[in-house]
Amino acid sequence: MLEIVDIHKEFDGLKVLNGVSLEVKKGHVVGLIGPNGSGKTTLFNVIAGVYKPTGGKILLDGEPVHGLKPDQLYRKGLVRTFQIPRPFRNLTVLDNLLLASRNQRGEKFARVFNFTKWKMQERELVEKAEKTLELINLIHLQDEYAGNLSGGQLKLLELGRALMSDPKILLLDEPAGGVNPTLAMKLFAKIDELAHLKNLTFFIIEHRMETLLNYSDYMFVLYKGRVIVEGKPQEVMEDEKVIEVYLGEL
Amino acid sequence: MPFETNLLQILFNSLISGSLYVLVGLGLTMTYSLTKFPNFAHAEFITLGAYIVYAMTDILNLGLISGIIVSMLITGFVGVACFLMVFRPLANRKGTMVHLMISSIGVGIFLRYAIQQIWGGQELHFSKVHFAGYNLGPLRVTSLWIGIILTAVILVIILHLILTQTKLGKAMRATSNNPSLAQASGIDIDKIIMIVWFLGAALAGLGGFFKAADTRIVPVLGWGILLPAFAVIILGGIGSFYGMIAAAYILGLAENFSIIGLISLGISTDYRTAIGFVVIIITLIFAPTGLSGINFSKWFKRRRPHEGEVME
Amino acid sequence: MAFPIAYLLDMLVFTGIFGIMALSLNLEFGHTGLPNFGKVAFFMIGAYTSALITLAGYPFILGITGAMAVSAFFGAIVSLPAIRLREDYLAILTLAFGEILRLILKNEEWIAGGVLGLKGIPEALTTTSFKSALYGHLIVVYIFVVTFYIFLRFLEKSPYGRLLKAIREDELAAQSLGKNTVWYKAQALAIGSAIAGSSGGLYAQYLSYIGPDLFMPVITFAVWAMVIIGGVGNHKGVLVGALIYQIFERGSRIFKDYLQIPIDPNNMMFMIFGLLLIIVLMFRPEGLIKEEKIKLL
Repeated sequence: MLEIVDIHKEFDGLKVLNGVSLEVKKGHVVGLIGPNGSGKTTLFNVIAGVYKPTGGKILLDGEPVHGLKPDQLYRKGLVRTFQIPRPFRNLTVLDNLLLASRNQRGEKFARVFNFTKWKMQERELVEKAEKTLELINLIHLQDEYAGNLSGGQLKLLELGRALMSDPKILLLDEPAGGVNPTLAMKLFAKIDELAHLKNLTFFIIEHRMETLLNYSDYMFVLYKGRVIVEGKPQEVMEDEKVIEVYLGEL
Repeated sequence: MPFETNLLQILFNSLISGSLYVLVGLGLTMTYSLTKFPNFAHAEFITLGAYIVYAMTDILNLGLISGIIVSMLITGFVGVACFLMVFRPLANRKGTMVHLMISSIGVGIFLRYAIQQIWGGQELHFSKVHFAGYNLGPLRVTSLWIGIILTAVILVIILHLILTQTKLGKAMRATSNNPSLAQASGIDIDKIIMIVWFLGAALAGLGGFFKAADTRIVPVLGWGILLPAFAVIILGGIGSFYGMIAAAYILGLAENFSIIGLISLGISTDYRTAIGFVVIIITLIFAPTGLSGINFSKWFKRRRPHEGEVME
Repeated sequence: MAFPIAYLLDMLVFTGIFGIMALSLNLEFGHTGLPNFGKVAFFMIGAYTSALITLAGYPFILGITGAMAVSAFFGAIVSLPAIRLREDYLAILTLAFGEILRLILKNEEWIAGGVLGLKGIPEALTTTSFKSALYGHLIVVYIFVVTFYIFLRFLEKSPYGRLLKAIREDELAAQSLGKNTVWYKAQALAIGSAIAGSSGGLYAQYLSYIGPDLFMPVITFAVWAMVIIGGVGNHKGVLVGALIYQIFERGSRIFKDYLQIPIDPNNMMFMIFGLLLIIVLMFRPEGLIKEEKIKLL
């Protein structure tokens, strides 16, 4: 599904990614873990088109996509969330979700005045958004401005927006950061369910590896801009190098 | 026409314009990079400086030098007052960059009409101060012009020494590079920012006096220099002292030499003021970081295109 | 006495003309987040285009259509470099664009009379008396105000308007949700410029004279003040802002005639106005009338 081949990224001579190669298989929940500063978010930003890689290739379903802009990647089915949530603060929670839906008729200037058509579509989208909001426990806040949400709620909103966009692959940057543990567990269970029922693919950054243990099919460990270990979660957890890296951080 | 052939005079005139831009541009670029917004009220600091010198020399009969000193002190304090009473509180209330820009327009409107209220809207001239003119071969100079150039040169040298040799200069550079880091390392950044606002406004006022002495005193004096000053600081790279100096003289040369071209093409010489605007547009489109952003050493190496380019 | 009525009508016409400008800036800045500091340029383009067309003997409606088309075209041209820039750079760039344009119109007599400008621009409606002419102008101007107001309200209450606001709130997030933000920003500038252009056309036919000195950057700042004071993002608010601005401007002239105070009323009004702008930014940055929560369905 998503193949990353020898990706390099430098900022002003500072090497952040040093030849990262990995593959995310269709329908899998894949974790990307690693200590702070290992380059996880930079890798996400490179994949999502925020930064251009200094070198290397990114393939989505076999098609090269490196250098594409975020909106072009979205159209190819790749959607991401941000570690620090980026909500549309002065729009309602419901509008935040609706904005993520694809092919909205009313978003074309020429069709704005053809209300009957876009209003019909809007009604369907609102229904879908309300279902998503129920899923992420934000339904009671649907008419609230996104700017009034708490940090944990914003993380959920990010996830909700990503789900609304009918993606093929979702890149989630610490989706459970700041979310209370019970809800976090529920979320990961939901992600697991979506992946296996709807054949969605998830690529998830997590700082704490225990969280992903039960819910991921595969894991990559990033350290100093390189993948040092990969494998099934259980294997990765027990790998000496990984333990060393995490202990080193302590 | 002797005008067309007198390259020496054009070169000299370029030095005068460039020196004026140095005086006016310094505060604009420093406050822009420290307080993170383009201060449109800078135009009124320029105007105010000219009017206060006028008040001192023509109304209170003070000498020119003491008039200039009083004017710089008052203009400097007005600059600090604007920062303390408007810009800082607004920034603390999470005002956006656009809010700060608009507030500076509000400050500018207030100051301009206050000036108009005190001194009237009609144009004024310095009647008590006179500047002797000399002919040095083909070159026409006045003591005013020499004063402008010398002031700018001395100022640049002093500031260079302050920036490189003193603790204050070090603190200023640190604050401008990374305010939070500077604060963490024990620098009183509030004090530094206030010094910069004082100095920037005072020098703008001085530049305003020079400009007015060379032309006339009107309430829109500063507005006429503001856009070229923006051209200078954008071309130099916002916050870059040396870039700004280079850009000031580049713009001075471009404006004055363009006269030859405009005359020979039979186009109005009014267009020389457009050079600043064109510089703004071209710089912003092709090199938004200005001269300071160009890595000159890169041009001597083999070029590796688009490496490490950041899209956002 | 007929004079005060005429005075009031004149003020309302100006409120309408500048209200249209404020509406257009509200679309660009209030909704899309584009700080256009070259508003006066598009006002000027509209005024000159419409004046040239009507002076050539064509009807007013053609003049206004031409004004909107040419302004929209220039809006699109300016948007090419401008929309990729940071907001402060965009502001300075658009400001410089307006000044260049004014310089050209001032110096090139063959375009539109140079410094002297254009005289005898035909009015939209031909009327017999001074007073009926004023009512005529009032009607014409407010037809445009109402039309644009309704148009912009529809835009705001559509997914299109929601998308523009999303760009204002966070452009990168909007891009990550598949929106081609650059394209939408260009559209907003083009639509905004077309509206500003029509306002220029109305201005030209109302004054029947235009010249380069009528289009100083201070007009841009006045329109900004209307939007900030009235309420950023609220179309009703910015119209109120336009009215407040006119009251300030006119008020000072009335004071001048009737009041004896040691300070020049005109200067005092503008000083108060500058302070008002600062006070609003400081204590009520959302303006007098806050942006509403929009429900599409």
